[in-house]
Amino acid sequence: MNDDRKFHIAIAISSILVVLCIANTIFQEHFANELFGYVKRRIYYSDTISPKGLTLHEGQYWRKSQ
Amino acid sequence: MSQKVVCELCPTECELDNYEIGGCKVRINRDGVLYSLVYGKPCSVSVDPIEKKPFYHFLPASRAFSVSTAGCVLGCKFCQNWQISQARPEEADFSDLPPDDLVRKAVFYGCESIAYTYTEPTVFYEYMYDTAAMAHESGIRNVMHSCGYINERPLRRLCSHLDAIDIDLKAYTEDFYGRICGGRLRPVLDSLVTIRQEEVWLEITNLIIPTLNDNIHMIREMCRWIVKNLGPDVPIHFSRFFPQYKLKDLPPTPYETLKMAYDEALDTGIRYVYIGNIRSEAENTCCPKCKKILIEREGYEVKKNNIRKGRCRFCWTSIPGIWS
Repeated sequence: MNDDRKFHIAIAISSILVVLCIANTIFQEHFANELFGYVKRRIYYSDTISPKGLTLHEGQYWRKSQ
Repeated sequence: MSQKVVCELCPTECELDNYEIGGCKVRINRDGVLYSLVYGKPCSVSVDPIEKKPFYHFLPASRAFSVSTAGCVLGCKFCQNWQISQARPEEADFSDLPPDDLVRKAVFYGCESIAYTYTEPTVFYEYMYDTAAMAHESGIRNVMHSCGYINERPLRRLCSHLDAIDIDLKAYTEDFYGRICGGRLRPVLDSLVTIRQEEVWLEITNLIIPTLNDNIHMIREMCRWIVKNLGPDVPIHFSRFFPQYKLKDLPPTPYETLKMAYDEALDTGIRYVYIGNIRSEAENTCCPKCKKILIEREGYEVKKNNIRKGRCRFCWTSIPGIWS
């Protein structure tokens, strides 16, 4: 393997790492919090609220968020 | 997962993610639909004298079947019922009491009205509305003690089933509402005007807290606003503060401060002014014309009632209120 080929492999690996780092940052900032928050709330509802016998009654005066 | 909803019941207008619970602690978004967690689940039920609400111009000496659930739209640092108002419904000790059973109980205990009180009734809006409609069908009146932090549309609809409302006007500055209650003053003032427009009997309670809202200039401005926007016949109760919740470092309100507010309100033109949470002559209702005592009270007890057919027994002046 000559130096030129090694250089290209190093460039390719570095590019992949940079892309992965950027993807991870975007995921953590925008999706991870939402996902973990959702899982946490879901678990709290099914483990704490629901077993208490707090049944759900459809509320009035609300709308779907745009 | 992005099934967000916006609750439009109170002016906070929480935007809720899936399975997120609102600031009131009792409304949850589940899969894009907003639900109440406290419908038919009161945590406090009791038979009280109507004077305790306080209502002084509404069926004196009658009994009110009083009910509340957990939760509140505000977070007042001086809350007298913080154990339930600031609790999550799953933390509170609640019972199953659907609207029809509630009305039956009120009839059973000989109550002339159902009072939605203790915490903030706005948070159990659907439960209150359905109960109030059923109660009216059974000839029982409905009264609410509220902070008035509710949007106009739900308030107007609710007014069709309410006979009297007591609003806690906590102070007359946005700063107080922001710092001490976690809300805003403007929506409360708007609610007061709406209630008058809907012709529901209205009384106002103002808890005077030393150093926080006992400024006499502010009290004067508040009374002027009441006279100008609501009229001189809306009774106001200046209530004594006792150290509670997050304001345990403050002393109880001195009687002199309450008396000063009482005199100021009378000077401003409010005809029916009361002092509450402390025994005094300012618990009595006096005729604005002949000045004689119409309703003599001692705490929550009515000792004498000189109102006949809504009029002063001595000079026949009409006294505003709901008397029968």
